[in-house]
Amino acid sequence: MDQAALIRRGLTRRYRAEKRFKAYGITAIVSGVTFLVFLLGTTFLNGYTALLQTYIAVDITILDSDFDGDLSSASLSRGDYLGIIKRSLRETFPEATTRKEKAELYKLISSGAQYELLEKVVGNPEFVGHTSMFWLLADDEVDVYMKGRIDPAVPEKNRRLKDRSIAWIEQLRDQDRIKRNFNILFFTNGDSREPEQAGILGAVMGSVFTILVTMLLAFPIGVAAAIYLQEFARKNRFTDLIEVNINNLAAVPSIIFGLLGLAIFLNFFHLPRSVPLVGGMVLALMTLPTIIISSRAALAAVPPSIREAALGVGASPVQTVLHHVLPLAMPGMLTGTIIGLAQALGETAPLLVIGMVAFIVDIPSSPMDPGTALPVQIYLWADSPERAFVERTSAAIMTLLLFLVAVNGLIVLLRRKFERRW
Amino acid sequence: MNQTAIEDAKPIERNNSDDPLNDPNYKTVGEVTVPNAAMTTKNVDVYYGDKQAIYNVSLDVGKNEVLAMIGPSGCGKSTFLRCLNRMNDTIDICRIEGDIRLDGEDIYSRNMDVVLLRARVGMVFQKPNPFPKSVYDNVAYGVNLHGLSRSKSDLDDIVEDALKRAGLWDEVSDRLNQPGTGLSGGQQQRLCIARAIAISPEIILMDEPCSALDPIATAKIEELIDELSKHYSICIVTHSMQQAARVSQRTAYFHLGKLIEVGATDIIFTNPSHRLTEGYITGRFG
Amino acid sequence: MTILSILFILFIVAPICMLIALNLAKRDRVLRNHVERVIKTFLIACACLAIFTTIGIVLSVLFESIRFFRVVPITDFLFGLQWSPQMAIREDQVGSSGAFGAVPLFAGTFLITIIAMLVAVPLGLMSAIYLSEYATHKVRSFAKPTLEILAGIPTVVYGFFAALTVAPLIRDNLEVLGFDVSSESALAAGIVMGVMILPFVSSLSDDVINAVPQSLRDGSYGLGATPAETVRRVVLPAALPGIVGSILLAVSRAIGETMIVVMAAGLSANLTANPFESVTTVTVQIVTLLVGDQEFDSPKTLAAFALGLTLFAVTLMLNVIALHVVRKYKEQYE
Repeated sequence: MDQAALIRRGLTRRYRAEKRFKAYGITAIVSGVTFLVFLLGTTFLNGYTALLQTYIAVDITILDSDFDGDLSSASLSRGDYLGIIKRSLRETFPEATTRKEKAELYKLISSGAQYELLEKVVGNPEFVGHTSMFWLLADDEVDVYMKGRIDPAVPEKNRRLKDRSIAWIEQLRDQDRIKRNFNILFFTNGDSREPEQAGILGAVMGSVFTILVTMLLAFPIGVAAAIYLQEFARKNRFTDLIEVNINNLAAVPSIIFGLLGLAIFLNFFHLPRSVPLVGGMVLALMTLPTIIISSRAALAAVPPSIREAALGVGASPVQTVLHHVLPLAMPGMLTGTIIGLAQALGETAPLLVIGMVAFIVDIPSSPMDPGTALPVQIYLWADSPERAFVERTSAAIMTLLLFLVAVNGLIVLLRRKFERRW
Repeated sequence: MNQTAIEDAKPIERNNSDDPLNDPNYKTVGEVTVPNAAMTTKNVDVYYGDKQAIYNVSLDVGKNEVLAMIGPSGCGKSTFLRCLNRMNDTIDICRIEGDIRLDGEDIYSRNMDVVLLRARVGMVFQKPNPFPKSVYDNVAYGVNLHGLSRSKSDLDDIVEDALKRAGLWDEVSDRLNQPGTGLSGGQQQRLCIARAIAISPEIILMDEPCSALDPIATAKIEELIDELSKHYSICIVTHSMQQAARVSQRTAYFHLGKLIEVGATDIIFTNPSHRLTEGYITGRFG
Repeated sequence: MTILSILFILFIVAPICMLIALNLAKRDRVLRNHVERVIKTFLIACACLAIFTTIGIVLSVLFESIRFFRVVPITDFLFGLQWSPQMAIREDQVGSSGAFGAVPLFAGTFLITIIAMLVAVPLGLMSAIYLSEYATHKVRSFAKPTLEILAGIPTVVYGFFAALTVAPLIRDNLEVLGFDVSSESALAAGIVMGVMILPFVSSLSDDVINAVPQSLRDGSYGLGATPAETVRRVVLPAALPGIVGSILLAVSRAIGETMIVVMAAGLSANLTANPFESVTTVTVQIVTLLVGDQEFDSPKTLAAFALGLTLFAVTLMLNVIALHVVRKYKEQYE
């Protein structure tokens, strides 16, 4: 029997298996990367339009008789601006006569437009008694139509924007009375039921306060725990227990931490619901294991010669660690902390459980004000039925991802600048 | 030693008396070819990236002989050994030039299949590396890969035969199903030898096979090498000169990537021609 | 505001004071020892916080669960086939409590986890194998960070993507083939969750595969094995315990994952194995029961804690086993 011939006979089959196996690997990686591109791509395509917002120009005549009193700021603030807008709309489109038609006409303009008008008139009383052109915030349906996301070919009963409204919009477009501006409101407003008035500032501030609390708690505690476990703890049952505990805590589902916060912080200590303080405390407990584990790794990477040198010149163990080891391990600890905070920044589930999902319009100004967080805002908007919230959700996601990219950039920078190999 | 080899050697020795290592075309002292070669290599250069590791080495491996390669660490003897069954293919930056032939076939040509080559040129490594499988499965691994057994009983016979030839059968026949990693270091290395000879290679390459073993285990392996040379050609890299003297018929001395001298083992160790060989043999460096 | 200042003093001001005190006490050895003792106590207290957190978790879910099981027998909860916490199904029931049989939730969680693992394990394992055994340095340095980006994306983003893009895509495509697919199908949530877990499986397996010594690969190549044969017959069997550990960790993560299922899976508790139907999971129900205004003592809210207890127990068990297996495996090759 010729052995070489025997082996050669099987080779074709074996090489085919080899190629197949390699192809599986490539397929796996390509599908992972494709999914990522698909996810980021659709998010961007859905979301970039939220940077623009539609405005409609309406000639508005403001009469003295719209106000009671002396036209002082106080009396101007009491004016019925909604009525003024409606009247001006009727004048612009006199063909709307029935109640239904009028209602449809009024819906072209956002319900928030009256407050913008109020601000302008109070700021400049000269408008009273004249007819002037104002750019008013358009309703979300108009905005969505202007962004080409409503197909007029769809049967009328299947869409909220009716044919008549579309005709009006087209008429406005012909007269150059409709335009799209940079959507500043999205970055300066809090949440709103009306998509065109909803912004992410409230959520961003909520997130900032939450993460701030998380950082102020988790960093010192995590570093202290790591120092104890790595530098001082003797190896015994108790420290083993702590260690196993930390490793397991790192893998506990985040929602469980929410339950912990609900039971202990809210029900036992009676802290207020929906405040970033409690959210930050819960997230601090959640990120603590990550910080401890990476801080210990950073401490372990400092070579023993440093400790020996310090002890050798008469420093106490505490001084050795605090004055010599800790500064050298700090970059690694900071990196670990930032990784933990990045996790916390994207975390949603525990915040839902401790009630940071309330609908809050006001922008929080301290960790004790009710607020929400960016990921929770994404969840809330994703749940809203209005078509216009889709682009805003996507835009909020882009904002969140941008924050995360920035945070990760910071990590890379830290590593580049301080990383040291012993 | 034939006459021409010595005559060739002398002028070269004189030309490079300052430092043969500065000469890129250094020609090896001694006869590099053998009449009945199992494997021939001509003008082999090996590069790792920009760094050259082997310079212009030509060396034949004779049928049924034990060829020892010695030299100080980093001299390229292991690198050269790994060229002979293309184990260096797995290193991306490694580049090999020259001509290496097995039975007249260029092993780096397109027509040569690396799987087939490695089945014909077996290898035993520095550290015993049995797979985390049973003793039986370790030996049967290559046989199954290449589909060399026709039936279970055929496979049993092959495994038994390989273990017997490796001198391990008496020690493990009652625990074929226990993990190979549970054996002692020397037994593990013999298991690796059994694994290699189970697929009946023509040549066995051994890369410092005893460096991780104690003296008794080493003695057993050396005995085994002697026994195996009746059926196989063996090429062994070793850093122990005594071992080379004990097991080999021919010895090649490598120095900084160059093959300095080749010759019959007894001559190399008693009367080396080159001063570098002599320096190494007498322990002035190494 | 008081809590805020207490926390601030405890964890920011106090450590700084201790550091200053340590510096001031440089010359006086007795004083220095006192300060150092205080510092050490602070360090120990911080390390113990991990234990307190665990105790806190156990106590909080356990106590509320016990209160829940006083109203609803534990056997009804664990083996009951009907889950409808909103309405009373028997007249003699207390308050507004409904049916609390959690089996449909367990089944739903199980179904989605299985789908997720069917996506994550083959893809994650094969990418890890490709990256560690085949990929050139260039491919590796591009593909590895790219996969890690997947791990860094918040789950709420996956949830939105699953609900808005993947679910309709799957429904429309499968409807063409004649299947009746719910718009909140277990399939959509499971697939997206699988992709979320993919980088987790791949990076853990990558560690484990790289821990297999190169000498074993050399041994296999030296006998004439192809790379695929080496991976399948030597590397994977050698790495198997570690890989199993990684998969268990991934399963634990899939079971505990919340946002994807909250946004893309359903609310109604169907007891089904059909991936095209809508199912609900343990985590979805915890969120549903707790979000919104609720009085704390109703069985509805307490049920959430009972579910939390189950979730905690199961994931803890998986984690303990997995961490143990992985540690033992790594010791083997050290």
